[in-house]
Amino acid sequence: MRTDQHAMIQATSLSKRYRSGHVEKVALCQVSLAIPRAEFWIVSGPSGSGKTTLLALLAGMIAPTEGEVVLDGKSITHLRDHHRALARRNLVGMVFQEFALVAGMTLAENIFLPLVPQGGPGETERQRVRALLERFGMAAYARTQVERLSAGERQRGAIIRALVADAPILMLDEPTAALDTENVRIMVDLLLSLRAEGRTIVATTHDRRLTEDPRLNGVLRLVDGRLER
Amino acid sequence: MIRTWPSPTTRWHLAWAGLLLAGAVAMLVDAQVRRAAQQARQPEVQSVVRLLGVADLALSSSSRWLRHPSIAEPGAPFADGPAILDNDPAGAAISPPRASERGRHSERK
Amino acid sequence: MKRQLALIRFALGSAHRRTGRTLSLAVALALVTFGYSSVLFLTEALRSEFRLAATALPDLTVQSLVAGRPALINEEQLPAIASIAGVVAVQPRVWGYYFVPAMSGNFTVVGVDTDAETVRRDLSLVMLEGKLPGASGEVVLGESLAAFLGLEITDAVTLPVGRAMKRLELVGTFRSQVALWTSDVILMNVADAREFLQVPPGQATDLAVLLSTPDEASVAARKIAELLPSARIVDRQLMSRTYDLTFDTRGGMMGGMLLSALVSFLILAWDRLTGVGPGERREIGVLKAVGWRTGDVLIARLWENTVIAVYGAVPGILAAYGYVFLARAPGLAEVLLGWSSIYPALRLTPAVDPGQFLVLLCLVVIPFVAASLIPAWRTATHDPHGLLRGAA
Repeated sequence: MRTDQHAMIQATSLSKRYRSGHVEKVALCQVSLAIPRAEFWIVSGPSGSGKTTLLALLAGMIAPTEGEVVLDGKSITHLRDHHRALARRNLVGMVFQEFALVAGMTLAENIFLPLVPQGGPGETERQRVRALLERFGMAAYARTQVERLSAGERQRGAIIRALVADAPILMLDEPTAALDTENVRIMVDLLLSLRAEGRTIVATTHDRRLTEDPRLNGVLRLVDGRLER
Repeated sequence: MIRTWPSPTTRWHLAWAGLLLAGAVAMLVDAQVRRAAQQARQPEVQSVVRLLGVADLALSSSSRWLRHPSIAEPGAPFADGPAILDNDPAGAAISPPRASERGRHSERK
Repeated sequence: MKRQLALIRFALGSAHRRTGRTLSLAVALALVTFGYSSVLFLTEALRSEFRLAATALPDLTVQSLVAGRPALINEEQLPAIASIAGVVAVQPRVWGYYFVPAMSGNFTVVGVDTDAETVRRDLSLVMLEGKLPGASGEVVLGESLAAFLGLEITDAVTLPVGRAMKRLELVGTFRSQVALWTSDVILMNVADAREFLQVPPGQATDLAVLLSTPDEASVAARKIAELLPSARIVDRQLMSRTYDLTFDTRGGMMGGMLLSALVSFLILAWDRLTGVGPGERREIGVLKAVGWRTGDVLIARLWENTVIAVYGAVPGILAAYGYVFLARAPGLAEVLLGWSSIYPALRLTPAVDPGQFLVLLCLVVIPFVAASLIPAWRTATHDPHGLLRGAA
C-alpha cells in the first residue's frame, strides 16, 4: 500500500457490499488508492465494475463496509450524516452521470442549489459563478430552465455547480456518456484548465476518447470491484 | 444577470399571500363590526328573554326538548314510550313522513 | 435567519414548480377547511346568540315533576319560596306549546302580564309594529309565524281550544333582530294563555326565581329542593351547559363526518400527493448530493407544505365565513339545525376573533404538515447515491 502524505484523495482497503435478502453482493473489494493534489485521474472499467460505487465512496455519499477515505488529510468515513454532508459540500464538487439538475429551475438556481442551506450565494459566490459562466461560454443561459439546455450545456452547468463552493476536488461520473466528440473535447479542455488551477479531478468512464488522452495523470482500471494495476 | 430576487415566482407568492392576508384582515374586521352590532341589540334580546322567560333559540319546533332544550324534562326522549318514531325528529334536514304524524295523533287519543 | 429565508425561497420555488401537486393539495385542503370552519362558525355563532341572552334568564326555574314528567306547579308554594333568604322575587309563568295539525308544528304560547309596566317597556322595545297587546284575544306573533299563517296586523285567526274555538287578533309582530327567539312565539296576556293552554287558575307552568346574589344559586336551589322534594330546579348555568351540549351533539356529528373526510384526505395526501414520487426522490437525491443535510431537506419541505397548507386553509376559512355569514349557510343550516315547521331567519353574528382564526388555521396546517413530513423524512434519510440511481 502506497502512503502519500500529500495525497488529496486517499482510500485504504475500501470495500462495499450490498445485501439483498440473504444474498450479499460485493461491489467493491479492498481498493486502495492515493491521488495527489492537482492531478486528473480516470477510473475506467466495464459497466458493473464498481466505478460509480467507488466514486460515491470517495465523495462521501455512501459509507464503506470496510476501509477509510481521507480527503485533504481529513477522514470522512467515520463522520455522521450531518458532518459528512458538510465535508461533501466543502471538499468535493460532484458532477453526476445524468447531471442531477433539478428540472423546472433555471441554470442559475441549479448552480446555487448547494449554497441554499447556508443562506444562498454571497457576493463572492456570485462573482465566481459569473466568471465561470463566462469562461464556459454559458453566460447567456443563466436564466434558462435546465431542461431547455443541450446535454453539453447541461454538463457544463453541472460542472459550474460543482465548483460553486470552490471545492478543491472535482469528481465526475461518466462525464462523456451523453456527449459527442466535439463536446468531449470542450469538456476535457475545461477540466484540464481546472487542473491547472490546482484542482484535483477524478472521473469514471469506459470511454476510450477519454482514457487514451495523453494529458491525464493516470488511469485506474476496475474489474469486478478490484483495482488492476 | 444572476440575481433573481425578487423572481416572478416570489412576486406571485407575495401577491397571493398578501391577498390572503387582506382577506383574513377583512374577515376579522367584518366580524368585529358585526359583533359590535350584536352588542348593540343586546337590550332587545334581553327584553325578549325577560318576556319569554327562556333563552332557547327557536331553531326547531318539532319537539319540546328541541324547542327548549335547556328546560326540557330529564329523560325526555323516553317519555313517549318505546314506540317513539324518532327521538330527534329535527335531526333530519327534511320533515318526517306524514304517516308518522298520523301515527302520533292516534296514539294521543 | 438568512438560511431560513433561502430555504423559504427554495420552498416557494418548489411549490411553484410542482403546480399540479400544489394546486390539488391546496384545493383539497380548502374544501376540508371550508367544511370544518362552516360547522364551527355556525355553532359558535348560535352559542354566542345564546350567551347574549343568557344574562337575562331567571336565576332559577322551578318545575314540578309528576310521574317523572314535568307537570303544572301549584302556586301555593310561592310564598314559601319567596321567604327563602336571598330570593328577590318569584314569578309564576304560564307558557307552553300548542300543536297545530294543519302546519304539523307547535307554537310556543307565552302568557305575560300585559298590564305590568316592565312588560310593556320590554314589549315596546322588541315589537316591530302594531300596538301593545292588552285586551283579551290580542296576540303578538313572531314574524315567520305570522308569515306562515298568512296573517297581517289586525287580521284574526280562530283556533280550537278543547271543544271551543278561540279567536285571536294579531296586533303586532316581533322585530327581526329577535327572530331567533320569537319565530314560533305567540304572545298574549296571562288570562288568554291560561284559557289557550288549559292551565287552571292557581297553577302555573313553572316558577321563575330571581336571586339577590346569583352566585349563590346552588344554596337557594338546595333550600327550594327541601321545600319541594318533587321539584326540578334548573339554574342558569345548567341551561347554558345544556345549550352548549345541544350544539355540540349536532356539531359533533357533522364534525365526525368531516373528520373522516379529513382523515381520508390525509391518507390520500400521505399516500399519493406528498408520498414521494420518483421525480421528487431524485430531487431529494440531488439536494443531498450537492451537500444538503437531511435537516435542510426537511426544513425546505416543511416550508413548502406549510405554504401549501396556508394557501389552502385560509381561502377555505374565508369561503366558510362568506358562506355562513353572508349567504347564511344554505344547506348546512338545515342539516345542522334540523327540520322545523318554522325556520327563523338566520341573522348570525360571527364569533370569529384572531385567536380562533389562528386555532382553526393550526388545526388544519399542523396535522397536514406533520403527515406530509414523514414520507419526506423517510426518503431524505437515504443516501443520495441510491436516490439518484433510483434504488434505495
